[in-house]
Formats: sequence, structure tokens, C-alpha cells
Amino acid sequence: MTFPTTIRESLAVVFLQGRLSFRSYPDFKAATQGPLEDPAIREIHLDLAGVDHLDSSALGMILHLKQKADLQGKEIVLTRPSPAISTVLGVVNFGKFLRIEA
Amino acid sequence: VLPSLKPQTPSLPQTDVLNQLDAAKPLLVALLQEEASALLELAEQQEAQLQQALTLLAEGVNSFADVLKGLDQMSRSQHDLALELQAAVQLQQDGQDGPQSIEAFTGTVLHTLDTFVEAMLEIGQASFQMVDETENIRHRTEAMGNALVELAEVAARTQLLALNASIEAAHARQFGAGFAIVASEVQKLADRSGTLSDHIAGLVHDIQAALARTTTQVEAIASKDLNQIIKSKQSADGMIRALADSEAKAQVLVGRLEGIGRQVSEQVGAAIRALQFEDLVRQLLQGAVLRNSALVSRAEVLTRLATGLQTGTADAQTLLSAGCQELKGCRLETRQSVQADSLDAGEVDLF
Repeated sequence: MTFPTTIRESLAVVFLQGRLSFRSYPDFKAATQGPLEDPAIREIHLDLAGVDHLDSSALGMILHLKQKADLQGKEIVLTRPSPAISTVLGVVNFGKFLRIEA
Repeated sequence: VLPSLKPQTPSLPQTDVLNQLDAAKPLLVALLQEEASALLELAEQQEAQLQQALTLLAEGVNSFADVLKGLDQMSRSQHDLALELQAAVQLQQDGQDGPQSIEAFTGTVLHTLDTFVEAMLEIGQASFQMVDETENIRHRTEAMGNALVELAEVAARTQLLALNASIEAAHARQFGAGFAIVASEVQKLADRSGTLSDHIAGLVHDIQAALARTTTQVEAIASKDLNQIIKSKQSADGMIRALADSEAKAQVLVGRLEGIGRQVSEQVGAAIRALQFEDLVRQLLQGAVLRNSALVSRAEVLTRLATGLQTGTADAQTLLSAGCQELKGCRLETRQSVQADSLDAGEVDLF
């Protein structure tokens, strides 16, 4: 599954969808690689509105992206999680690592 | 009838009075007997009632005291129970740090869960670093494979070249003998090159297979269903909240129990203080009993005086004088008895 991406000035938004798991990594990497390497991009939003499930590897995948973004001086923000996804993010204290916006 | 025979000022009667006394003796005897009899009857009735009142009062006080003792014991038991309950709501956990409160215990549990979750996330993050590294190695081995294909092609061309050289050497007959030897060695080198190329291609294939297996294993390590963890943590959170709520409720109940216990103790104290009035009543009744006894004694004196006057065992003056002395003694005895049983002497000490 390809994840659509929009870029507006220094903000890139990646629209994640479906079930995020280890096998989503190639598509995830492909969608985030460009914004990550683009010096004009300062902030990458991962839009979670279309995500209905994620496992621990998906969280690791996002943290791995954050690690790479930190090296580039960019910020990763999670946006529009569903109530179920919000519960998951809350349980694992994901707000300690990333900014989460409703 | 006898104006000069006042008990407080006994004095020797005058002659005319004695004459009058002799004349009035039958009447006096009858009066004395009747009065003494009435006094005795009243005294007996009054004593019976007084004794009955004292008995009832004693029984009532004893019962009331027993009730108060029971209340006091129950109040103490309630207080002890409240303390036990307070101690019971503290989660006792033996360890180096000694007993631990529920609050501290819940903090430890939540910290442990958070540490576990963080470790899981770190593993996930590290897994993708490994995936990236594996991917790099896979790309490099693919490049190696491409190079090996090219190398095999070079070996095949070299073999072909060596074959052509051998053919040309054969055409040159004896002049091409040396060239034929060179062509043969080139052929051999091309063969070895092809064999090595195949061997390396096999190794590259093995590496790629190992990388694929590694990726699968990394996926298995990194991919954990969060549902169970979420359920566990939510369950722990719920239990911790319930424990904390229970502790808070128990503390409130303990406080209420102690409050009730204090109120009962205060009520018992008030009841005990009220019982001091019983002491006053008892002393009053006992005083009444003593006075009643004095009435009986005086009635007995009057009876003896009447009998003496009637039977003439002595002259009236002697009898009256003796009677006056006895009555005086009775009054003195009564006064001393009542004074000795002063109201201030009583004190209630039930417990």
C-alpha cells in the first residue's frame, strides 16, 4: 500500500492507512524518505486518521523515523489518531517521545 | 395534757401536775399505746417500702452499670477494630524497604509496566535499524551478483578466445606449437575463473538467503500484538484505581467508626455521671431508713412507758423521767446516725 504524501512549504504530511505492521515498512520508508531528505522540510506529520490498527513494530517504525529525523533537525508529529489508536498511544506513553495532535 | 413535759427541757413535775397526771393516767396510757401502735404500723409500712425502693434501685443500678460496661467494652472493641482495619488497608509487603503502602506499591507496578513498554519500543526501534542495515547488505550482495555475472561472461569470452587461439596455433603447425601451449593455459585460467565465479555466486546466494531469514526473525521479534499489553495495563490501572478507592473508602469508614466510638464513649461517660444521682437518692433513702428506725425505737419507748404506767411497776414520775431519758437518747442516736451518713460521703465509681 502506497501512502500519499503532501508537501506545503516546510511541512510534509504522510497519510498512513490500514493496518500498520512490520510489513508496512517498505511503503512507510518510501513515503517518508523524500521529506526526510528534503532540506526545506522542517516538520513531518504522520496523519493517522486512516489507521485502524497498529502493532508494536509499527510504533518502533515511527520511533526509528523520529531518530533519523532528529539527526536531520526535523520534527515528527502524529496527527488525528482515532480513539482506539489514541488508547494505544496513551498506554505506551508515546506522548513522551512525540507530539500528538488530535 | 402535759405542757411541762417537753422532752427538750425535762424537769421535775410539780405536785399538782402529778395529781393531774394520776388522774389522767388511764387516758395517757391509752393515748401512748394507740400512738405507739400507729407509729409502729406506719414505720413498718414505710420500712418495707423503703427497703423495696432500695432493692429496686440497687437492681436497676446494677443492670444499668452492666449495660454501660457492655457499651464501654463494645466501644473499645470498635476502636480496636478500627485500628485493625486501618492497618489491614495498608498493603504489607516485606522487603528491604519494609512495609509498603498501596500508593507506593501501585507506583512500583506502574513504573514496572512503563519500563516494560519502553523496552518493547526500544526493541522495535532497534529492529528497524537492523532492517535498514540488512537492506544495505542485500543491495551490496545484489551488486556483487551483478559483478559476478559480468565476470562469468568475461570467463566465457576468454574461453572462446583461447579456443580460437588453439585453432590458429593448429593452422600454423610446427610454428604454432608455443602459441598452442599459451592458448591452453589461458583456457585453464578461464575455466578456473568461471569456477570461482560460480562459487562466489553460490556464497552470495547463501548470504541473501541468510539476510532473508534474519529479516523474518527481526519481524518476529519486533511484531508483538499490543492488545494483550493494553489489556494488561488497563487491567492493572483499573485494579490500582480500585485499590486506591478502597483504601480511601476504608480510611473514611475507619474515621467514621472512630467517630462513633468516641460518641459512644462520651455517652457512656455522661451516663456514668448521671449515675451519681443514684448515689444521692440511695443516701436519702438510707437516711429515711435510719429515721424510720428511730421512729420505731421511740414507739417502743412509748409502749414501755404506757405498759409501766398501766402496770404500776414504778411511780409515774420515775417512769416519765426514765421515758424522757430514753427518748432523749433516741434523738441523739438518730442525729448521730444521720450525720454520719452525710450526703457528701457518697461517690460513684463504677469502673
